[in-house]
Parts: sequence; C-alpha cells; structure tokens
Amino acid sequence: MSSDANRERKTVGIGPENLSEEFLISSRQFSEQGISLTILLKLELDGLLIADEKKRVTVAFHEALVNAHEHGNLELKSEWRDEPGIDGLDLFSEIKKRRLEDSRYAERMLRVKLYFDGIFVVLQVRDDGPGYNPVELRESSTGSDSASHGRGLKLIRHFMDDVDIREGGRLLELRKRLVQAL
Amino acid sequence: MEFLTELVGEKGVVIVDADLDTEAAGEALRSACNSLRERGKRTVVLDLSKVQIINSYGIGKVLTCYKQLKAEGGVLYVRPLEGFVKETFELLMLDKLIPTDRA
Repeated sequence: MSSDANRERKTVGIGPENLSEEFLISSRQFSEQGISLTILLKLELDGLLIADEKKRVTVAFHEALVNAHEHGNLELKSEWRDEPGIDGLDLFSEIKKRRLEDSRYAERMLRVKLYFDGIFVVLQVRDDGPGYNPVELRESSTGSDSASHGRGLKLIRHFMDDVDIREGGRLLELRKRLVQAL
Repeated sequence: MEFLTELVGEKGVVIVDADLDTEAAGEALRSACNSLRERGKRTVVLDLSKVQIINSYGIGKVLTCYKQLKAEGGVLYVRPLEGFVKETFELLMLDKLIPTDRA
C-alpha cells in the first residue's frame, strides 16, 4: 500500500462505530507490499480486540488475503507445494513467480472491506479469479497431517465466529464478535 | 532474515526469533533447517519460544523441515510451546507429528 489512493475511505478516531475501510489492490501490489495491508488491518483492530483475539484475527485475515491472492487471482493449486519445481523451488513457488510476471494474473484485483456491523467485525475479501467449489476444496484439504498445504481455511474457520463463501468462491466473508464491552 | 543455529550434543537447534508469518521468515526457517541437515544433524529442535504469531507460511516450512528429516531417518522436535503457537499446533494436530524436546 504505497499511497492513500488505494484507501477509499479513511477512518478517523478509534472505536467500532468508526471502523469502515475499503482497499483495492492488484495481486502484483499485494505480492510486493501485502504485509503492509496485513499490518494496516491489524492496526485498525487496535483498541477493539484483546491481545490474544487480535493474534487470531490477524492470522485469519492474513490467510483470507493470501488465499484470495494465491488461489483466486493467481489460480495456484495448493498441492503444487508438495511437487518439485526447478531451481530448488517447489512447483507452487515456480508457477507463482511466473504468474506474477504475467499481467493476465498479476493485474487482477483484491477488493477488501473491513467494517463493524453493530455486533461483528466483518472482513470481506473479493478476488477476480474464476472461483471454485467450496465443497471440493473442503474435501481436498483433508489430506495427510503432514501435507504442506490445506491449513489456511482451517485456521480461518477456527479463529472466526462465522465464515461465509459466496459468489462462486470469489468472496470470502469473515465475522468476529467483538469481545470488548461496547 | 536469518535464524541462529546451535549444536547441542547430537542435536541441532534453530532459535526462531521472529514471528513465522511471512515468506521471508518461512524461508529463513527452511534455510536454517537445511544448514543443520547439511552439517549432518538428523535430530533438529525448533525453539519457538520467541514466536508470537505463526500462520500457514510458517506451518508449511515447519512441515517441510519435518518431512525432509523424516525422509533421511531423522526427527524434528520442538521445545515446549506456549500461547498462540501451542494453540495453533494443537488445532492443526502438529503436536501429534512433532514431539516435544524436554531435555
């Protein structure tokens, strides 16, 4: 996030009633500066969540963003992490590198909304990928305990109060009830 | 980013002094594990006591280290875990795969 141009609305003040942010970022930008967005989202939660909850929410938000970027926009398959590529990379990393140099994938956008709906902190992450069947994903992510993939959605579901996948897999909505008294 | 490694008898220890939540941190862990394996260590211990947050990047690299050691007849251990890292290991049942080093 190099400038406020990607930030459509700016929150002033701290408190859930003021929490309303939208971000628009290409997968190329996310790849270069994605951690900035994660930190920004974490900062937005300052004062809203106790420390332990903030860790859980931060990880869940990160997993949601990375899923949309890698599996949505770049159309990378998790199982490629366990397959060898070239130059010492796994196949996932090798194809990811190539797709980030290909504007057909790299210029796809991530649309992120963070807001408070009166009860829950809500994060919506939309990608521009082809979508997927959530049922197939659930079945494919129940592989062996030592597989190097398939844990992101499990972390999200565990750390959030509610998770909804809509728009053919292109929209992931996470909801976390505020634990702090309002 | 680099993580310190120590040799303690037959064991190689990786001192992870940053959160395992970025590709850079995951790569540093992979590099440290590989370094110990290349030095002939087949028992590797991860000290994650300074780690506050671990996500799928970090978990993936821990499992890569586990699988590489296992393929060579080695074992990966962790020093006793606490807090969020312990919760995450238990959630993903990594505590069943990776034993705790209590030495």
